[in-house]
Amino acid sequence: YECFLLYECGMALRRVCIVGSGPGGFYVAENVLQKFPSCRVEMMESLPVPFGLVRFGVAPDHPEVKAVSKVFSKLAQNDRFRFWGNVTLGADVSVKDLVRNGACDAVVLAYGASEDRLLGIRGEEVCLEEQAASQKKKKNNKKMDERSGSAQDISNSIVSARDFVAWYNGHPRPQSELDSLDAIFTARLTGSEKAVVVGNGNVALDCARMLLANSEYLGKYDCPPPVVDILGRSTIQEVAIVGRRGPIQSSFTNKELREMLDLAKSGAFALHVAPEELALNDASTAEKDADRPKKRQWDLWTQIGQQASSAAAGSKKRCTFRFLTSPTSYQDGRLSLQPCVLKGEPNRQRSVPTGSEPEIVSSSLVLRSIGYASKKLDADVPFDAERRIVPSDRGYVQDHVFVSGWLKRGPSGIIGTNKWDADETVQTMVEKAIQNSAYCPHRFDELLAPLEGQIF
Amino acid sequence: VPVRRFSSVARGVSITFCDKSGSRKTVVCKPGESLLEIAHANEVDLEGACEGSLACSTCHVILEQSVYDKLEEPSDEENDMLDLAFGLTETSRLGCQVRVTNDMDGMVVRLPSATRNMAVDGYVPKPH
Ligand SMILES: Cc1cc2nc3c(=O)[nH]c(=O)nc-3n(C[C@H](O)[C@H](O)[C@H](O)COP(=O)(O)OP(=O)(O)OC[C@H]3O[C@@H](n4cnc5c(N)ncnc54)[C@H](O)[C@@H]3O)c2cc1C
Ligand code: FES
Repeated sequence: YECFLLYECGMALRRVCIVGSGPGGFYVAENVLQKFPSCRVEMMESLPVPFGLVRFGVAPDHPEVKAVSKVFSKLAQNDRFRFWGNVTLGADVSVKDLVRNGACDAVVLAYGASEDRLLGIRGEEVCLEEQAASQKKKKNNKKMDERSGSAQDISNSIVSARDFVAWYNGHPRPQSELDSLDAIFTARLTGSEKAVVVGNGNVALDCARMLLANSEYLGKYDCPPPVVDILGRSTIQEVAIVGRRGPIQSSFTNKELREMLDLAKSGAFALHVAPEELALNDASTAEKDADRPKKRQWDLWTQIGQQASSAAAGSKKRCTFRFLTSPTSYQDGRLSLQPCVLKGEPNRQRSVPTGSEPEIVSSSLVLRSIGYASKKLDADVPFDAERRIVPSDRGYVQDHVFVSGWLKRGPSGIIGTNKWDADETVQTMVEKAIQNSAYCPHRFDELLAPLEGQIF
Repeated sequence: VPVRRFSSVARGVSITFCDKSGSRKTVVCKPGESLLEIAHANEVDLEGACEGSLACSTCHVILEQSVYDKLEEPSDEENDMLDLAFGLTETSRLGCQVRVTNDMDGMVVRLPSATRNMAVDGYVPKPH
């Protein structure tokens, strides 16, 4: 039966175009090459180089995670595979172009999530790229004193973790823009002793590790030398990781949290968390007990709590977890944090302000790390503006159009999750190929059998 | 003339991989090798993206209960990645962490299936 499927589908799909070259795109490519033995795969990518967030997201001190690019490179050597760098969907081609006149049998959208979720508070309007551009303009115009000009601009907005991550991973940009970003981060990183990361996912932990790293640690990894230099000169001594709910509602994974604990044990920095912020209400206890990873994570939080109370005087740097705290505004380098409590049934608890006095934290660098978001890139492809994904039925969007990766299910999970996700999409492609194929292996025999001709 | 006694030659350990589509492949391997190494040496489709450094969980395998019970408990680090493995079962392990021993001879290692099996799920191809 499987053979029959492959045979028939091999006939049905001849050329598939994948948009985006992250794990979502590459795992689809792998599957298509396997399941459709005569199909060509064309992959287009807006950047000059492939691998998406594996290259420009995953932190430099996680080289073992980045190793997946070896799997992808090997795949790319297949004769039926081609990579097109510097080709952007929306600017250079549209989905219509790709499927019109049979240029491709199917397009798989896997362009990931290139925007941010916003906190929606005062002080986060300006994005760093705009700042870099405006700074450049000022420099050129020489209207303002460079240093005071930049210092004023940058103290007024929250930086997207996406910008910070792209910067420390050497995301390709024109040199002038890189220079501006270097200047902005130099000012931010030397403007105070405290940095704040808003958000409770692994990206927040990545940012915290990078902010607390010294140049010796960073030097061991593949990190751009100017970045190592600037991070090495940083005055940041404390990074607060802020979440409006509690530890059980966080999206940290156990591996990443254990890494923080191990770094603390090795003396790289101290960990802090206030016992009252770690305390669980009944609903949170129920959430914890019902979930294997959460249950295991609780053991880590207990250890982190102990670590915190015995905080070694040795390390000057520290990372503080702040739970039940929600930022309300950021102005003139002052972040307002509002205390909250959790209310509601297990798994649907909401964070509600207690109404008590907000806490003010002085910090020259506040990073927003509450999630990536996809954007609509093609007028002919439906987009769910609320969930920020291209809606699909197991990967099927509409005739000839499929979706995979973060664009399909939202920005969550690890790299391996995209493999299962791609399997599903390609399985759906197989089903659709069968449904749409006019070819029937028995038809020919049926046609000729009554003629009682001879087969030689 | 010396008699060759084949039975006394170490035959190796025989393992059957059962992939996500249900097809089986029996291979012979040496004790001490990891299931991931064995899969790679025999073109079994088990990824192992992080090359055994406990950072990916793409080497997830499902063992038979009797084999699972004989093994030492997974380490905390392995459990951290198993937490994130697709289709976790009671007898799941990471293939890069399980080393073959003589008493595993004849065992069946299942690779988790991500996609629905169309025949099982009731999908019927459109008649032509
Ligand atoms: C900061 C960060 C750290 C992470 N760390 C880890 C980790 O340690 N371990 C782990 O397992 N997972 C990690 N992840 C998650 C992992 O990176 C994602 O699961 C995965 O990259 C999602 O794959 P994707 O293909 O959907 O998206 P992406 O990897 O983002 O790929 C999308 C690709 O599409 C391209 N593109 C965008 N727009 C267009 C266009 N218009 N035309 C053509 N191409 C376009 C992009 O340039 C990009 O190359 C991390 C994620 C982030 C953000
Ligand atoms: S190969 Fe990555 S966890 Fe085993």
